[in-house]
Amino acid sequence: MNCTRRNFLIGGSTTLFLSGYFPKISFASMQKKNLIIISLRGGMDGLTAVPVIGDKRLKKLRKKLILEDVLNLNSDFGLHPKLEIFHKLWQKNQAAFVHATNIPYTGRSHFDGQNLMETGAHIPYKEKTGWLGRGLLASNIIGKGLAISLPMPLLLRGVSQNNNFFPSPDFVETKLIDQIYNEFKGEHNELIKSTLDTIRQRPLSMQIATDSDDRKKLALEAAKQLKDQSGPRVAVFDLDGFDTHAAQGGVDGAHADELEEVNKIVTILHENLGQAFDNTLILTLTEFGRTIKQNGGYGTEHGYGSAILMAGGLLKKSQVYTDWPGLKKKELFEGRDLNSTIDSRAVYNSAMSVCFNQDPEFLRKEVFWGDELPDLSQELFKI
Amino acid sequence: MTGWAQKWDRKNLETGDIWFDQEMHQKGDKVVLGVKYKNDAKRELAKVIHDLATHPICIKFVSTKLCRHFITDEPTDEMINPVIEAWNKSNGSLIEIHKAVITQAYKYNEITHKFHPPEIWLMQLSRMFDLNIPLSFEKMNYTFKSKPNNRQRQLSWILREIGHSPYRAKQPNGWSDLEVDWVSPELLLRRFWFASVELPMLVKSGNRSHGFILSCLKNNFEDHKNMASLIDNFRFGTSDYDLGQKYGVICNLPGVLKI
Repeated sequence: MNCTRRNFLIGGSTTLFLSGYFPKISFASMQKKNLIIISLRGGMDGLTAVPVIGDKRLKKLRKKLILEDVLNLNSDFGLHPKLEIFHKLWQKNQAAFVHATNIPYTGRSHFDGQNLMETGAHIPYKEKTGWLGRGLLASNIIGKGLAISLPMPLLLRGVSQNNNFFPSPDFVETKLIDQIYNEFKGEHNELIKSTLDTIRQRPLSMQIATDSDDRKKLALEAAKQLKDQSGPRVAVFDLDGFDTHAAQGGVDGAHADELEEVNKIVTILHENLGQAFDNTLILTLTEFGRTIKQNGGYGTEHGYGSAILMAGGLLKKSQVYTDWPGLKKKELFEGRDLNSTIDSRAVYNSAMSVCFNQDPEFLRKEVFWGDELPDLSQELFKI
Repeated sequence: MTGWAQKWDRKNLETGDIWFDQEMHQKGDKVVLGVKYKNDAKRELAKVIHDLATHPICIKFVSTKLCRHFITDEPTDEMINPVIEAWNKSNGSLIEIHKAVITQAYKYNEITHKFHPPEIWLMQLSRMFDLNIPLSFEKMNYTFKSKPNNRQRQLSWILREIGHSPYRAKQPNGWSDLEVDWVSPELLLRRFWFASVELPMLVKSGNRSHGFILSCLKNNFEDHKNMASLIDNFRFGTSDYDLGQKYGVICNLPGVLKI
């Protein structure tokens, strides 16, 4: 939040009239809140990440994919052993999960699904902006988005002057940028000029060339930027490879490797955000879950309901938040997939309302065309 | 229309011949866009494709896309109509359609300044400065029996690094043709990196003089004198580093990025 003179005056007058309690809240709301989204492309299997415990049907249908030893969450759900950091944070009320949730998309196409998970819309390719970009714009937070990828992800489009970080193989001399800067004149060059401004304001740590496949370094830099009070408020990571049609594996295997990547990113963010982790929300995003039944290649096909992995100090408590639909044949979506009982956009809308200090009703109208999305802030987040 | 399949096995390319399998064909009449197609085995598909390709909405759609690519993000009817006209007049001759697009692009060139996506930018630089990429057809041609060598893979590596990998286009729509999708700090930085670090190594050995750059500018730009003045400080250098100083500036000027 920008501490403008007007905000300061409002804050000041409250302290005059009310005692002790309020200044603390206004101090908390002065702190910058970070929202980090990790896109899990390919369809993350919610039942592998956060398996339901002791379900005979699941055991029967997934003989080769059952996890031998899961980390314990509660009496109903376990956690994939590769998601260690979430288990650690769970003990401190800093990790939680939303289960049996998905965007309202029941097709099984990655192309359509990934487009919709980013736009938040109903018709693929119709919208050209992402829900996060629109949320930032509606909250008047400009130039505070950071994408950890090369092209600007659709998710962040819709608000101008976002930053992205994905270091090139070699160093670019600042001198060069200064030299051409003044050549960009006039209205038509405004976009390039403001982008050059963003580049010129980069700290030295973001100018050093590095291997951009090294997610550790990328996450480290993101944490550094997010920690800065005047830095970005939103960061987007992109992971792919969750589409495990074959050799999905259990404790180890293709899906486990991907979950390990998520774990790595969250671990680095947690370690390096320090105090700022208390004012941070990390949420995952995927296009759909996977079928209950394993296929002939010990993998799974495109499904429907999945889970959202959450971490950060802005979570209300450790919990698996779900309206569990069950795994009996008639309870499954089209007889084959975990159903979705929570529109995942409700979770993202509520998360934005908490991190951007906005009314969820307002965001719902501005970002999601007034779709029926219940406010879950009370249940999930610290407000 | 089902029944068409690829003919391939482990030894042959997946892009080999296709054939029609009568057993896999769904029999009966089909309706596409309100038009009924009688059961006609392998001839059905060709009829549908013909009708779709000559549909006025298809013609408008493709013409709009061509204008978007070459002229501006939101082409107007005045820009698109001559292309549609050429299409109708020539019964879809690709040469005539593209002639019309190019005529239109020249007409609006000075007003619209379409910002080039990385691949187009790279190809422009390659022609403008007679670079050592892309490789000739003879050198690129290889049998699929061995892995392509580093020189053959160089172009796709460069394209990937400047953010326009030929193999990573988002499906099914492919890479965006909108300017705004190609402007981000990292994408611009990658162009600075390419022009100042990689490009000097792609300049042919006979072309490393300052005079060569000046003549290229003269051949391609009206305000070449202005552009030349920006690199005048480095006029005596011919090392990779010196060339990087010059090309870094020149290749990223508004007129070259075309904006």
